[in-house]
Amino acid sequence: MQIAFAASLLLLPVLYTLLISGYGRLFAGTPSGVARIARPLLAATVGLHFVSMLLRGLQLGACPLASRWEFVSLVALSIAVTYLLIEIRIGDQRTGIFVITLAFLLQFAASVFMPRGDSAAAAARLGAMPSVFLVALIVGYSAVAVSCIYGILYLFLYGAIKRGRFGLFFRKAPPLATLASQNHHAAVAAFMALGAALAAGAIAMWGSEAGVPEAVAREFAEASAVWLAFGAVLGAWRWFDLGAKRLAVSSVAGAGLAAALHLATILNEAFHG
Amino acid sequence: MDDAPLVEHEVVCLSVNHRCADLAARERLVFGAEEAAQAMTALREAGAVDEVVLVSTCNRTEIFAAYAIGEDAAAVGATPARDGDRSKPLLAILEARRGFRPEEHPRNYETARGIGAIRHLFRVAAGLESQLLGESQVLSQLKDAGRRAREAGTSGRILHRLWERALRVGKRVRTETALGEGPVSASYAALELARKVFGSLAELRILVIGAGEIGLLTMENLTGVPHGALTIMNRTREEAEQVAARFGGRVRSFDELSDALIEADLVISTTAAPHFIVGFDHMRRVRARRGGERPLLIIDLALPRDFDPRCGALDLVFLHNLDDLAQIVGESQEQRRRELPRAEEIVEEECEGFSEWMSSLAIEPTILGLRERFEAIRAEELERVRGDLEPAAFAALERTTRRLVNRLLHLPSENLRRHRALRDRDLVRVVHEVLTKEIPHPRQEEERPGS
Repeated sequence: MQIAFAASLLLLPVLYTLLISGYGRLFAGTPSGVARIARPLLAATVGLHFVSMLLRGLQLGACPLASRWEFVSLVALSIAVTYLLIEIRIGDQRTGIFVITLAFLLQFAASVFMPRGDSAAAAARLGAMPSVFLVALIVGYSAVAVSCIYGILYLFLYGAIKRGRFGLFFRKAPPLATLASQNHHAAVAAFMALGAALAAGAIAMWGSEAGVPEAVAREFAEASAVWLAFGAVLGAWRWFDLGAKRLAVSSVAGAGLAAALHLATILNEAFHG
Repeated sequence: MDDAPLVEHEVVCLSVNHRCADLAARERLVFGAEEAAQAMTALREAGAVDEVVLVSTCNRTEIFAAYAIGEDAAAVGATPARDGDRSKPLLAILEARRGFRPEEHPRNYETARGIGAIRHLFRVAAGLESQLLGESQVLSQLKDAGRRAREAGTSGRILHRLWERALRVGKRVRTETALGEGPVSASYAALELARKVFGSLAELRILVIGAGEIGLLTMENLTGVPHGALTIMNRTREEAEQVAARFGGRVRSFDELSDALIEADLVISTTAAPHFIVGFDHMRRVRARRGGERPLLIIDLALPRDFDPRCGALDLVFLHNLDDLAQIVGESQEQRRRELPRAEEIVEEECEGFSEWMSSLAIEPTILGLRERFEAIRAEELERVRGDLEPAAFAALERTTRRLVNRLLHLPSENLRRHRALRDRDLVRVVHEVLTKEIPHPRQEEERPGS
């Protein structure tokens, strides 16, 4: 099992590199070579990534979140899955290069630094519901990141058209309407995953006899703030005709809020030793 | 057994195109579908060419012909053309049908033969010879010309294959390079911009202000593109109604300009008004009344401009004028020029492939002769044993010997087709004689009286 897991850690960055090459060609408008099989290749990569995380979980005998690099790998997987679902739903492959590059960078770091043994396992043996809470939280924040990417792409193209900068990005990017749709789907995914995380977190905290760990309570509070922000934005989109541009701004702001809350937590921890 | 005739084929092309002939000359040589079919049939029936395809578009009239050449050409029913005069029948048909006298217009046409003619057709199919580099309309025009020639029975093995290859070159260039990407005229650039904002034009409410020449041209470009409701607004209502009837839109008067702007997604303005017809404050009020977050794309093609340029500063209002569209066109053309080397590489690859196939045709009579010889021997030997065998055993032997001949001939046949040395005409003749003819023994030659 250890050999299979180590092999998957080697193989995943290679597959993500191939995907970057394929999606790069799709963005450039010359869909040859690996670009022709980008979607099945992405599905296969996501499948292998999932199996890799499963092997790590079996190796540790717990949810594979023993070290920060397992966390990073799970984020990469969640980003890739979110993108795959959006690609299948919308059918446009021209933004893959932007999202999959992020997944590649994260997985590359995880493959390099993740400990191969199970020495760190003891530190991270969580119960079932806290594990579900954490995994759903990671999926939710990954979708927030994807939504942020689409928000930035939308605003970039909006600015290019508005100012009459008809360069490479204008020519190659999908239309504003497509980017808006992709952004909306990513925001909905973020809202749903964070909602699931909050539900699991609430059950975990309610059923805990030993009291709620401070870290879990803090994550719960942060996720609630981000979830409420995305809920408000999606509600405004649905019922008050919020518009694609404001949704794009909100997605970037939502990702900024999540990052700011985490930064505040890190600084707070550092300050209190 | 008759000897298989040894023939080769050559493709010849006559081209009157935008590079060598002005519009007046090109106009004179335009052939409609019916006329083109008649001209091709006349050439074929006169025995002037073996195969012919005539392509006629607004930018070019081209005639491609295939001839059998070599000493045995007459044996296959072809009219062997003498060196140097292969384009004469093609010029003659232009003279006969259109009064185009080549001696009066020696610089208005180009001719090419062999690989030069093949390369020319492939370049045309790739859009490399088009006025708008990389334009794709020529591909469907070539397709139509090929179909017409097939229907008229004037294209055969050579030109049919050449046309297939040419269409393949056109498709390859457009899928493997970005030569066909981006708009190359202002009115196409306007539609490209609309697609970049809205994705599809299918449900777009379009308002065209001004039914003049530019307005008509824009609406013509919309023809064939699925779009939503079209509203036409013009100073003279009668003109607007005529245009609306032609393009299937509805007419609104200038008094309803604000309402029309509120409803529209895409506005194309082309009036000849000497001042802005929509000022900044007007547009701000329209923007406020549009409600929601619908983008509004305004293409101001008028000179002087119809919209105050400050309107473009309003949120979700995209305002672009002729200069902006020229920039999009310029970017596309630059990008297309960058793709030229790759496109030319594809043309050369395909030229090489087609030339190889043409060369392999020269060896086909040899392969045919070889097969006939083997078949004759097989039939002769079978005949000898027919009486000694039961019908079932004879049939089995017949099948076995046929398989045997096929297997024995497969490798040499393929090698003969593929061997590069057999592009040499003299060598082909030697191989042909060695494999298919009875060569007298040297002693018999010496004994022949007078030898």
